Amino acid sequence: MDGIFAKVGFVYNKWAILDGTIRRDRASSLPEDNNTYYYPSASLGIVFSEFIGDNSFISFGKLRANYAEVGNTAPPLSVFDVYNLGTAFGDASIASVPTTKNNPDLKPERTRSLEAGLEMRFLKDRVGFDVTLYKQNTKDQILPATISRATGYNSKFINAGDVENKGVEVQLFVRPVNSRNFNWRVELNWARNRNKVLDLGGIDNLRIGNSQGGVSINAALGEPYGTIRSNNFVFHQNGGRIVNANGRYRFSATSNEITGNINPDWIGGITNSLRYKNLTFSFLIDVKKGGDVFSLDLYYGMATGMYPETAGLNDLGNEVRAPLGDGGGLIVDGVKEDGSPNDVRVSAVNYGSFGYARNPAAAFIYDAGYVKLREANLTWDLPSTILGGNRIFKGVSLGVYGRNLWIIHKNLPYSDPEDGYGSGNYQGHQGGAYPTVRTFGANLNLKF
Amino acid sequence: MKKILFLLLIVGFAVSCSKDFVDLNTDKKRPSAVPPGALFAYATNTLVDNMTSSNVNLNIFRLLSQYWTETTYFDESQYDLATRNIPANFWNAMYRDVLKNLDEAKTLIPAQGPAVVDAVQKNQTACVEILNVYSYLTLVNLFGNIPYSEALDYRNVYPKYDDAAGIYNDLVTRLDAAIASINTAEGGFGSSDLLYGGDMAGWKTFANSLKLKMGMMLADVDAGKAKTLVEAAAAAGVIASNDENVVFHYLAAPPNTNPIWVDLVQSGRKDFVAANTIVDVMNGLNDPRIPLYFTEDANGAYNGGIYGTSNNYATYSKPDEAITAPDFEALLMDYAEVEFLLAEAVERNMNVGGTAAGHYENAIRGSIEYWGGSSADADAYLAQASVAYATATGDWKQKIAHQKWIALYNRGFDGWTEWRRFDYPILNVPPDAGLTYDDIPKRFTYSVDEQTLNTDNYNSAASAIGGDNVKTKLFWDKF
Repeated sequence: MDGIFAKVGFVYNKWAILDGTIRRDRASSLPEDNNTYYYPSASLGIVFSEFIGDNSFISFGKLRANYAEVGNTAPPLSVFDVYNLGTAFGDASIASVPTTKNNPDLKPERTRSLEAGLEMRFLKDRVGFDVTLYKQNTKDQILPATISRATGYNSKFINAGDVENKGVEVQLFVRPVNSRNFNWRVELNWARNRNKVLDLGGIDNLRIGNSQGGVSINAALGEPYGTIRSNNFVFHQNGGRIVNANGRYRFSATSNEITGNINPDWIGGITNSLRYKNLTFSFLIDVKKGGDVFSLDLYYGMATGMYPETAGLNDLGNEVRAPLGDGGGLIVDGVKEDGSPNDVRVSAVNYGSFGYARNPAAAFIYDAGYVKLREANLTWDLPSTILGGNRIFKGVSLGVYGRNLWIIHKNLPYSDPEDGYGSGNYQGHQGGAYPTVRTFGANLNLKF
Repeated sequence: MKKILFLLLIVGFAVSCSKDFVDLNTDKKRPSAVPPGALFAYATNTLVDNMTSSNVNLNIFRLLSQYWTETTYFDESQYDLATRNIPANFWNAMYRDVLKNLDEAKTLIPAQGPAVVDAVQKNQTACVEILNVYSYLTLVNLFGNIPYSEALDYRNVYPKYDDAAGIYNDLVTRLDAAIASINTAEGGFGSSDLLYGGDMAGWKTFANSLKLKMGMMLADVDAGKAKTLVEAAAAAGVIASNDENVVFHYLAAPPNTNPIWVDLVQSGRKDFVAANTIVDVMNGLNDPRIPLYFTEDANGAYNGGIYGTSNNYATYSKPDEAITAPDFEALLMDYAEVEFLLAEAVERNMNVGGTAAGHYENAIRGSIEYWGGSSADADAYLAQASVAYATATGDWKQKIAHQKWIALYNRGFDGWTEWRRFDYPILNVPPDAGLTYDDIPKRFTYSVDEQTLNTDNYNSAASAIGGDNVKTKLFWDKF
């Protein structure tokens, strides 16, 4: 890749700042005819508090707006087709067609974002906020889209249309107490993002990932980026889950039912910092509201009897795992075809009754929201009287901290809803979940 | 006082000269051209692997035909296809790994130019076509309607599903064309031909045997066409001895071993034991193949686990050590199967020569001898009233179905397919699972990927075949 970059900036009388950039890249990983692309950005900031003069109420005010495009190239070796070579079979050499089809017609991808914000502080910076509205469109995203295997491929490289993200981010701070010996500062962050798939460059569903049990994470046209599809219960019009004549749940005909959305309604956090003389205590509470996750662990573990729900006494007061003849078994919560309550007792002698195979995958999709005590810090600044005439250090502080201290509330049993396979696009799916690492530490800060 | 600050910055960087620029994006480790034989060999190996495997994620046909059953985890024995995405895995392995590579090989054959003479190129195309027919036939017999006319085209990511009977007709046409184009005086793929080593006479016999089988599959739905195909195939020359079996010779060293060895021995797992369904039948008939099919249990007897539920691995007979050897050969078609088809043809008044009893005896004798039994074993077995064609129980269909099911032991897909066609022998119903006899699969459900990635065509196909359900019968499965 080679590139040329130009930047221009103006500052006008301390209250207006205008920046502009333009960049041209040429990337060898794109087809020769399409390998050069330009992308500009511009931003404007107006510190309007500069010209409203001295004002005891508004201490700072700034409006900002910016537009930016970012161009991006294709992953290496996604343009020309080649063959895979295998281990020879005796005298026969072995080659095969790769499972991803490359694309000689790829175009550069592009992200366009438009953002506007207002930052204000009041009452000598005792209260303030910063609000940002944004809209970002990712166009022609280059990715290997999973396609029907009847094409002979797992996936093919495409330029995938247009995915839109828009949302609002709010930061708010208050200093209710601000005296010489005691300070209290509260900071609040809140963000809400909504995304939608507007165009997929000729396909109607981009499958982000899939797992056992026929569960998939999808970005389909007109839907949010990250819907969970799976099979589901079949519901009677009275709302009950329909149970077959054999006492087991009926499943939907396909695993193409939309049974979840991985995107949260909003996320937020509150930091409280309290300082008394030389002692500072602060803690952060993180909140994620909504967003779904499929738990492969519960899908399997509830079947194989790992969890306490799968043992114990049934409605008759007998061991649920005992044979039906000994009063064991269970009546699953549901209705018969005619809507009357299910009364068919089924055996739980063998594995299965509470987990996969006997329950649709949708039964293991949970709300992934949480409230967490993310972090707490306690810091002691050595008073200057102790430092005395020491000329080496300007300040010394001692602190202890902890991270991931307490999950105050969650709806996913037995694991941390934040755990996932990774930080990439494939979210909303959990298997082999580990607990989040809790960290404790102490620190010593020396200022010279 | 107003102050204007102005900044301008231009940075440029370049790292290459343009002559080699595009070259940077060409793969240095993988070739952009290969001979068609390398793709053909890969496709052949993968096809045989798919048919032979006992991997619980891919090939569970030994369970569906109740030759084997499972020990600790018995979901598949209870017909849970969904949890492990088994239909999708088989679908993918056929379209992507077999058919795509056959298709690519076929397009590369003419590109070899005059270095490979025309007759050899035609023979190579015929080999590709015969395996194409075998593979599509397997998919049709597994799913019903499938993508066919629009399959294998990456530009069309929404291939429609074609009618199964229509595909059958086209496959017969293609098979006939392949047979007609074979020149047995010339070679084919040579050492890249892992089935015949380039012997085109062998391919011709294979193709005619496949045609015989395809014709018979239609017997219940189109007796006229079945008769035409079967008689033509039999007259042209089908497999006439075990020496003409369609054999794939696995190697002793990974990765080219028999997949059964991978699944049962190399993995160290203890997932399968013999099913009581077949062991009980074979014990009842004093079948000489039982020590060749299975190991003895702890008491020196042959004893199968209860089909479709939990079984203790140590208690029961397992697949015989010969079968789990890394270089145990695999079969795509064999003499016994062909003789059973001929016996059936005689019973259906098709003109293939011989008597039903004669072909039936040839089939059983061929199977016993293939597995390592002696001719005396076969004589003794056939002499029993319970085995002899004249006296065995049931009508002709049941007699043939029963013995054919035993003979197809290591070919689970065909064992299950013949059970679907004959509705015999009577299989067991997994206990304590809320299942009935009617729940035994008659087909696979479609790949779940098709629901999310080819939705409209999937929905049309599901309704066209009468529901994407394991209970939906395929077009040739009249009874």
